[in-house]
Amino acid sequence: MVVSMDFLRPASLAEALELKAANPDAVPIAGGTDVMVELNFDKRRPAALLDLGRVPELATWRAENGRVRLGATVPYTRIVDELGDVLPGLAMAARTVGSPQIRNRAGVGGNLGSASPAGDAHPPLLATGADVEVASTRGTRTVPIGEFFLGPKRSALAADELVTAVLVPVAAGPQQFAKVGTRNAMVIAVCSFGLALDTTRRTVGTGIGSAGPVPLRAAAAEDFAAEVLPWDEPAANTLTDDTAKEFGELVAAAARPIDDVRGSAAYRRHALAVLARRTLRWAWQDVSGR
Amino acid sequence: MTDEPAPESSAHTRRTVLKSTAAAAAGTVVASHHTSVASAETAHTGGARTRVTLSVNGERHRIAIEPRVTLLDALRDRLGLTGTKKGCDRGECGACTVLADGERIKSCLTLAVMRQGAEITTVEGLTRGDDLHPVQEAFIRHDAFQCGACTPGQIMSAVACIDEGHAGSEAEIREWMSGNLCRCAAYQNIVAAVADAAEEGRR
Amino acid sequence: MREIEQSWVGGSRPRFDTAGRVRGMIAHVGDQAVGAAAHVAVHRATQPHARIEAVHVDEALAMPGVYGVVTGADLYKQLGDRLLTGPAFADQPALAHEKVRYVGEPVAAVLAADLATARAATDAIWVDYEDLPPVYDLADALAGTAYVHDELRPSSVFGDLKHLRGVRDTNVNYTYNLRTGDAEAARDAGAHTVTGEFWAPPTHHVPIELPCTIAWVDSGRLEMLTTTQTPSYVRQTIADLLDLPLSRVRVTTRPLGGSFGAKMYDRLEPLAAALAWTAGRRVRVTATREEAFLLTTRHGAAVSSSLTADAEGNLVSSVADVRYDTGAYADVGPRITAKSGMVAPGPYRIANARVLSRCVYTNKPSAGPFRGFGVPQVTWSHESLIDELAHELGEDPYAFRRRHLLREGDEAPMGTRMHSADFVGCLDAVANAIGWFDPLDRGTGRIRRGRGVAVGVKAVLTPTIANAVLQLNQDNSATLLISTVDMGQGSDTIMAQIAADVLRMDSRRIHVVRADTDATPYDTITAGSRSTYHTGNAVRRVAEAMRDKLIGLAAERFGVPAEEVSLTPDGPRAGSHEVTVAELVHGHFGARGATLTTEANYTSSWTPYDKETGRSDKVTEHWFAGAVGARIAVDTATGRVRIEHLAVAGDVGRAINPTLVEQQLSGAAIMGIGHALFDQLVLDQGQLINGTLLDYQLPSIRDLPDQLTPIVVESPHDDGPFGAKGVGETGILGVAPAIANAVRDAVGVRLTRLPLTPESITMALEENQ
Repeated sequence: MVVSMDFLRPASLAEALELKAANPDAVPIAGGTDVMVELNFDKRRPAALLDLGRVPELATWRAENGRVRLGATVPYTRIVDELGDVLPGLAMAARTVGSPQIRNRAGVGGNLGSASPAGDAHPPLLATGADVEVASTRGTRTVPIGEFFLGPKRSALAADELVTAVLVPVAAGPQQFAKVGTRNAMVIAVCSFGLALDTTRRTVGTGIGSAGPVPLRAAAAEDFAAEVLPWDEPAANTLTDDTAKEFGELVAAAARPIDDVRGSAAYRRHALAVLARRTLRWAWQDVSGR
Repeated sequence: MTDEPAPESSAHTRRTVLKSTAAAAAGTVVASHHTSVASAETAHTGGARTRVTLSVNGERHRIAIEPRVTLLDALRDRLGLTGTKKGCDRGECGACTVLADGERIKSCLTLAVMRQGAEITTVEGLTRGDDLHPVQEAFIRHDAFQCGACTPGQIMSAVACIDEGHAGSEAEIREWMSGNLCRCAAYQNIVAAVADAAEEGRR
Repeated sequence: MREIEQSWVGGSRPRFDTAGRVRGMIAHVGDQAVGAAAHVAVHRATQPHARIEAVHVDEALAMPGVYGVVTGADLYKQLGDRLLTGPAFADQPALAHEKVRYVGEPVAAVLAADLATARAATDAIWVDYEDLPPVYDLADALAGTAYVHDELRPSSVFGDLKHLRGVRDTNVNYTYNLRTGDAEAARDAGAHTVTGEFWAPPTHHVPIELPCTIAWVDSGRLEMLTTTQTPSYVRQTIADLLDLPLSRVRVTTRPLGGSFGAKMYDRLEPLAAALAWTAGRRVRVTATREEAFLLTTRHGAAVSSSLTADAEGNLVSSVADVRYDTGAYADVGPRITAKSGMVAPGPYRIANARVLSRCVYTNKPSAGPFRGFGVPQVTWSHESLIDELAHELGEDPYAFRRRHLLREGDEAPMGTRMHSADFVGCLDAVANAIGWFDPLDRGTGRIRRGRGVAVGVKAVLTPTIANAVLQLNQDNSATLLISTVDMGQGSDTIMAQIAADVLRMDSRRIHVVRADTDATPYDTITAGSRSTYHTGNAVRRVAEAMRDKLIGLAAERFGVPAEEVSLTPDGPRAGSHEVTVAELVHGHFGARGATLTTEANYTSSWTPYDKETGRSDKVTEHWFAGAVGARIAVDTATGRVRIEHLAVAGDVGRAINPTLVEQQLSGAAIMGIGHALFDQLVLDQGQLINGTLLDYQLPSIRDLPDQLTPIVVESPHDDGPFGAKGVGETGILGVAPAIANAVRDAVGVRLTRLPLTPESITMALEENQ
């Protein structure tokens, strides 16, 4: 009878991995803002909780080799305050997560761990081509973000693995993030969109949230934009309406939305096209503004 | 906290690192085993309670609770501090907002065992004797409430919001207070109260 | 104003116990330490409509810490038909008996040592159901594809519902008809007609404080502490339920953390009382947020209506077919059906009106009282129609309404005259506030702007009863005993202000006690915005009686006729005679701390409406009048609406406390914004799927309009205390149509289904192209 629950508190990553290996059913908890909801409602009665809040290796970030290694438990508040320059898209998304109180505690590890298609961090991670670092007692490996999500709330994590960090390329151009909801705060996205321009390599990255069984990239839209954007003449008026419009349509076409309580599939596609057009314009303005 | 024998299965070394005061750490690493032994008990006997030390409003409390008990329930049911309210138990309304080491968190979304070592401040801890906190006074001046159920959470959130430096304008206040719902919709007066208290703090 | 006058009628004195509010010391029912009690969790139905074949409780009973498990059959054995309760129909059992009628209906209750154990035990209960065909919506229910109740069960309390007893083969539990003139003929003969199919979805009150009821037996009496707006009503229900004299039932309460109608009539109380009484233990019953969504809801309503003008633009016909979806149990639905049905034509001079208003059962959570009492749903219809008609006639929507609004003394379509209902004043005020008469650049690009107005009318619940007892203490402080419950609206404050004004004393020295049916006298309900007028009148009278008593004592002491004595803030005086109240009372009794007591009653009356015509010359004790003006911007790409300025005006007769009145107007308006733009309960095959505060979207602090202007209009009521009336609901009535009218102005589309989400606006714009 599971009224009781083990509570495991490792003090180091090594210890955490050992505990996870020995207790594959233990549910990792860091900020708690995701897991606690299910606990409080008896939707989950795990035999054990694995508190990662004291593991120092997970709570730091550092820049190395053109990427930021962002620990899984670094709270969104810190991402907003400290990483707004180098990871602008992710910082923008971080600002929209939950509420200020939740942002003090929640980190990307939670988003990735739960692998919800609605996770706010996912579109910017997709758009920048991040890698997810996962670890177990068997070793550490990296999973490209595009291969991390296998289905709604299912990821490539093995039962004995923990998400330890994301490796996010430092911004090589303007980035954007936008989200649509019916109210103005504490919103679960009806749909969301992340965009990253690389002005050096002249490529475009995208990420779509809440409009498919997993967060998605819009490959055709990326290719189209990379080819058509006037990288040589980056003035505000060189991005034509037609380009923006087609970009939006290609993004919408890449989505695989469903009807649910928050909105219909048709509206999600429509809204995505608007978000894509809009973010492309804003990002392009930043290119020309520099 | 008495000395407890180390758990039998050596694969499970469950140590905690207590950040709190010397009194707790008191040179005894063993003292930190209270959680782990209780967990061992849990595994073997199905009994659930563990000893937890919470530092709330400057006072330390030792309670025996199940690990699953949220900080909110521990505050309300075990410590009798009912000023912090439960509106949803899912982190969606903000009525349970407290400060942990000065940072605002939703106490329904964290376990009491996870908050050991943190300095918790609840609405009861804002007053100094009979003197109300400036934010509390500002709320009164502006009638920034109706029924009062969301008010403690609003006030704790406002205290942190101002400390964070996020009360520079009405728009900023609205954004950074957006984690607290008020069904009576005293929002306009809440914004005015926070702006007033922030202004006062700057003088 | 002198300081003492600030505490009287018209003064914006701070509300009672502000320090308690900011210190978290307002003790709600759920904050009470309960000691040794059985904690109760409820096993709920998973089927929308089914016969209960068997309830398996053995596994739950065997769990350590479980004291007992009780089913509807168990309770029925003890209580029989008394198990069924309700304010209009006695149709709702505390635990389902024989049948379940909605997903989430309570089926069995577990009593245990703690809440976690109780909740775990509810998962160990399972039920054998024989499924019955469900009806989920109004169309199916009216077509009669299945019947939620085998026969109608009007409560024996109400004579006017008697004729419905035993009626079978229907899901319509109440019908109200209004027939004034010949509306169908006038419509057919008229020059311009607009029609609409309007839908307002079910919504929820979502007070921040969750419901909680604690019940126990003491000295052979059933006592309870519960979150309720209606302690007198609850006492009666429990007395009926347990077959006890009223003197053996006690209901107490605490200030509520918001309610808006959610904590009224029969919620957790019958279950708690039945369990405490039959198990002989103290019990504590609460609801989680998810469960609270199921306890009671706001009626979804469909209105099919038309409004017709003749060639000169006079309104000649209003026709409305109103259907209220009351869910599985009628609750107060029948009353809503009549009270709101009768104002479906709106506050206008219309010669011919026909309303058919029906209350319909479906297999969904029950709908009950909610701020507005069914009127916002019909206001959504009449204010959209008149706006559309104005457009069709090429007239300014403000001016068109103004022409036709009822004035003082006019007879409304249901036959009652208007008094103290300044519709014109309210409309003018909001129009001016949002700049109606200034040019507006509506824009040609992606962002379009527009403005709209709407006027609302509501009748106050009549007849009702209010009583008050006043104890004046020897030191010139007082205790006021009324059964009105403060839930944030400020009744604890304004009732003191009324009494203080009469007695020329500082209202902060008058304590309004918490309702306790052992001590505070009967008051119908704290709802429907009735308390300021009705209970306020009882309070005024009880204070006047006390004033007379004091004057009498002073006259005796001074040796002068009573007519020469007047009561001042310093005490009674007559010419050169003067004495403080403290001295006077001390002198009278020869003791400190003595009390003088007075009591008073205020009972209103009405002329019941005619069964055939729905008309009455006095259908209500007084009217509520309000108006809303909205200036908005629509993002045509995303469908998002941004409210630049919302003005809300209410005629309160006289503002007892202007600050509190403004708070009520603003608060109700913001709740109305929620209803207009995002609040809705989403049910799929009878199952509530957005029962959390993330998926059920309430207005957050960021959803405020850029500017929100509450406007107090005062058109004194002859019989209100100091001319005052209530205001709790007035602000919400016209918000949704005002916003929809502004959308119509901005982008030329008329939306008839709420809420106006970005998706629905986007779709409407696309269809319009």
